[in-house]
Amino acid sequence: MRIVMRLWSFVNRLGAIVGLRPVDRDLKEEMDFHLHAKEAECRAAGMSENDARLAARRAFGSVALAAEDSRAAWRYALPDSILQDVRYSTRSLLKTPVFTSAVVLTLALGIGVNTAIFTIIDRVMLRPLAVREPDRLAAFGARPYAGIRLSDGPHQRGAQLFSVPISKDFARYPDVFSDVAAVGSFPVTTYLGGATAVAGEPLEQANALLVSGNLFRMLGAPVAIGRMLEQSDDRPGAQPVVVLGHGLWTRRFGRDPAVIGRTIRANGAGYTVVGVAAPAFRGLSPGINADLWFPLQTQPTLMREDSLLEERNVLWVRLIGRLAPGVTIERARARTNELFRRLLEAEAGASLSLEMKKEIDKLSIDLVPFTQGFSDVRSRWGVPLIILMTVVGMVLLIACANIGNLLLARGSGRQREISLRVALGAGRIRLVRQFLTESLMLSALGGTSGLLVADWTVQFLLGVLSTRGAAAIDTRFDGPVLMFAVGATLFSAFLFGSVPAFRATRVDLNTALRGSSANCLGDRRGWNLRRGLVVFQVAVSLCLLVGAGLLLRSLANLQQQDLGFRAESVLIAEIDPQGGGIERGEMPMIEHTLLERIGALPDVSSVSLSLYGLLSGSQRTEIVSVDGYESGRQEDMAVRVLFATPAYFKTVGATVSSGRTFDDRDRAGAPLVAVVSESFARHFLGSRPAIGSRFGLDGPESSSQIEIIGTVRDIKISDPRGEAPRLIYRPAAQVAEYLNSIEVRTIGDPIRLVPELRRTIQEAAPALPVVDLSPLSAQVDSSLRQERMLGELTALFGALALMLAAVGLHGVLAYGVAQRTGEIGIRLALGASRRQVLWMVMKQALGWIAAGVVVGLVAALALARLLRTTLFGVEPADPATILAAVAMLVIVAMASAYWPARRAARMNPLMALRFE
Amino acid sequence: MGFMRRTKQNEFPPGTLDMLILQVLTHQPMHGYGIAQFLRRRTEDVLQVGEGSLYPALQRLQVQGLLAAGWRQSDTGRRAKYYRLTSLGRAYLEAERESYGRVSGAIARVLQEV
Repeated sequence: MRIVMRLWSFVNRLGAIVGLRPVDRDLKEEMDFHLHAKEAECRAAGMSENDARLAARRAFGSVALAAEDSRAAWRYALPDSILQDVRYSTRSLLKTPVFTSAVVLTLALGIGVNTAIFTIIDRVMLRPLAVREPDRLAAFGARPYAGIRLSDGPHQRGAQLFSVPISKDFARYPDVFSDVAAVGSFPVTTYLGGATAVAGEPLEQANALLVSGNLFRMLGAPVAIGRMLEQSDDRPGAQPVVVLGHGLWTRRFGRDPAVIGRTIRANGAGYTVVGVAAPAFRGLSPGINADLWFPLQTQPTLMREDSLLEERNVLWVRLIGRLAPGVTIERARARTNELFRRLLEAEAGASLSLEMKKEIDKLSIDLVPFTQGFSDVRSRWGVPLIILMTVVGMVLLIACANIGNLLLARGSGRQREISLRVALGAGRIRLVRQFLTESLMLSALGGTSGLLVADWTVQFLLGVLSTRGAAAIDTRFDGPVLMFAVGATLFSAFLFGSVPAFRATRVDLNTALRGSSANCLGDRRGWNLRRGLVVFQVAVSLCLLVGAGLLLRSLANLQQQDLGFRAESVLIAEIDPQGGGIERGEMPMIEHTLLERIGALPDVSSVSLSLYGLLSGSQRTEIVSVDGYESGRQEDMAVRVLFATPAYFKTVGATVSSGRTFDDRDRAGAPLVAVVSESFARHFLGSRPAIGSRFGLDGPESSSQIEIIGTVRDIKISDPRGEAPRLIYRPAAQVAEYLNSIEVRTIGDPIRLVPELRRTIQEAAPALPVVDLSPLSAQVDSSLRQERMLGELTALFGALALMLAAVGLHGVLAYGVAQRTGEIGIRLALGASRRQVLWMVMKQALGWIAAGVVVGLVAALALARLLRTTLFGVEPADPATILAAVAMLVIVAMASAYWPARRAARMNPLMALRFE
Repeated sequence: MGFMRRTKQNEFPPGTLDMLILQVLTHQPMHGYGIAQFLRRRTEDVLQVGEGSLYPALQRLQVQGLLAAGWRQSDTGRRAKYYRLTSLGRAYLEAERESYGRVSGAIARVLQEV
């Protein structure tokens, strides 16, 4: 029965909300009837008309109360009062549109950028791979190592790369891993479409991953249409197949399901499409998309190179394993290392010496969780992203402090209204709830507009972050991001709203209702709070300014350093002869033609070809053994190697420090020569003269003996940040390798020459794809992209924070002056000079600023220490930077304090005294 | 909305007003004024109820589906809202009467001279 009553209750109330019952009107009529009837009764009993009416009213009791209680029976109490709060807040916010829009805008900015950075962090660092049970996956080796490494025996510490045969060996031990899959450690640049480049037409480029046949099944990677790769596709002699990435399928094939079964041409060969990966599964490294998935077996055809599939000494794949059920990663780690050592010993076979065995025992594989995929992007961008997150978090805090101050001021302006409501019987909790509703509404408006800001910010940041090949991150707003936005909204509302709400509702009814401003000091405790907020804002702004200063100086240092080459007036063209299907035997002819034709162009002062371009991200490493140099135990004898034509040094502006560079003498068949970098000479030869010394490549058993003919000053050939590597230069003519870079030194602005250069290359070698053609200075800038973005963004947010703090300071000071109008009037009337009044106000501001600076310095020094690894050429506690930041802060703050001070000094004492 | 206050003298014990209203309506539908009159006469003016406080109770009972209401011509000629008992109301009244009887019987037993 009770249940039925509840049901009726619900239905009836719903009807009332929807408006099916005109409750109010009915009630009035009903009660009117009652009163009328009672009046009639009293009159019949002999009372006069007036008395009867009064008696009826008295008998009835309070009409208003009855009406209200009756109406309340038709409503739900809580939602009703909440709705009331919302309506009231809306009205009061609309009455002060400037305040409301300022607050909403500030919040939109603050919450928006926070959400944007969080989106990127989530995608890059937090989100697990869209596969089955990603937390049961482990990767072999933690560092982001990519490339091909030739091992001359067990000389790898912390194994990251493996050979294909050993990867198959691992898969044979199911007690640790239920399955182990191999993935090529670098994306293969793939040209789709025709076999070779049609003259003038750029081929579509895509990123391809070579994976073992069991990868998809082991991961449980979802497939949109068709099927995934299987073990049967990865056997010698299997039909060449490929799985498309969802992005490529959308871009190039328009999501046509008929693509399954079709043959596409990639790098000149045909592959049958058997499936398309699901949109959620974009690759194995967050932030880097795989457009194509090929079985490992196709490696020789796809890369147009010798097969690396059977070589035990060629290390080029990374391994991922799925832990067997019940196995923890620690146990797996121990067992895997055991296995690894046993396998290496088995590989060495008969030639296993005691020495070698000891070396092998020192090796270890660091098994790391693969929940979020490979950590390449994460490790490069992890720290900057966290820095950015801290920065925007601070900006939001400052914004909330400002809004808090604004709300405090607004609250104290509404004292009369609040006191009235309290006097009429409003409960304090109710009032606090209403103020909190106001804060929540502001926050909600700010938060929703913030999502728009977040969208734009993410697009902008991705434009800065993405490189060729690192395709876009999925930017749709979904679960975690929305939750973050909602969380930030609620947090802000609570932060800036709660204290003002409680403060505003604490009323001394007497003074408030009388409306006098005899209380010159204002609410003492509220004042302290406001001062505290200003000090907080100043401190946080200082932190941001110091951080920005340090990062910008870092950037300037990086940009201005001597990289060892002269970047102005140089164009670099990245070419891909292998991708164009050019045979290795054709290369010398093509190289010769290119050098001739380009060299003949006006405005070209020199031209050269090399293995890979400066700052291109590619590198080549080989193991060296130097005559007369005893390598220490476990010393890494790897050096960088570059093959180049003779004009290379002149073209890039490298300085020769001794001996000579290559010339026509050094060709195929002639004695092998090389030029080395100074660091190479210093390290391996010490004080001995470099020229004439000999060394060999490819391990100690190598027979190739190369003579050093000259030294050059160090070049930072791939990373402007670290130290210049030890580098060996060999003449291209003596090495039968594909060269992938053309360097051109121009007279005058290099950009002007770009179209002509492109045409010349095309005419000289129509089949040669030109992947990129840009000035070297642009490459330098691009390699510093991360520092630039970080520095500029921090500076931007620092400026924003400073502005907010200045506005906050101004606001509080202005409020203080307004409160003290009476006092100031008295002072002026009693003879204080205007200057004294000005100074009085400024002194107050100065006090707050000083306090803020002190607190800020302490915090800034502590935080700056965390930046140490990111900085270049500047110490975290750099005095010049800190001084500059403090100076800037003080100047801006004092400037903003000047205005209220000036207004105070300019006051007309008469008006001030009369001010109520 | 609705504090708990101590029952003043001659007021209805809380909770019983609903039951009494329902009881009044067992025989015929009445309007609010009629209910008030009836209660006054039957209790011989002992139980006073601010007549206005009937209306919230009537609304409450109506919302819960124990009463149904309709507008009708009253004997004075003016329109009035008449309330009648629903079957649900009747069932509820039964239950309440029973429960009240048990409670008051128990109290009476305690207060009886042993």
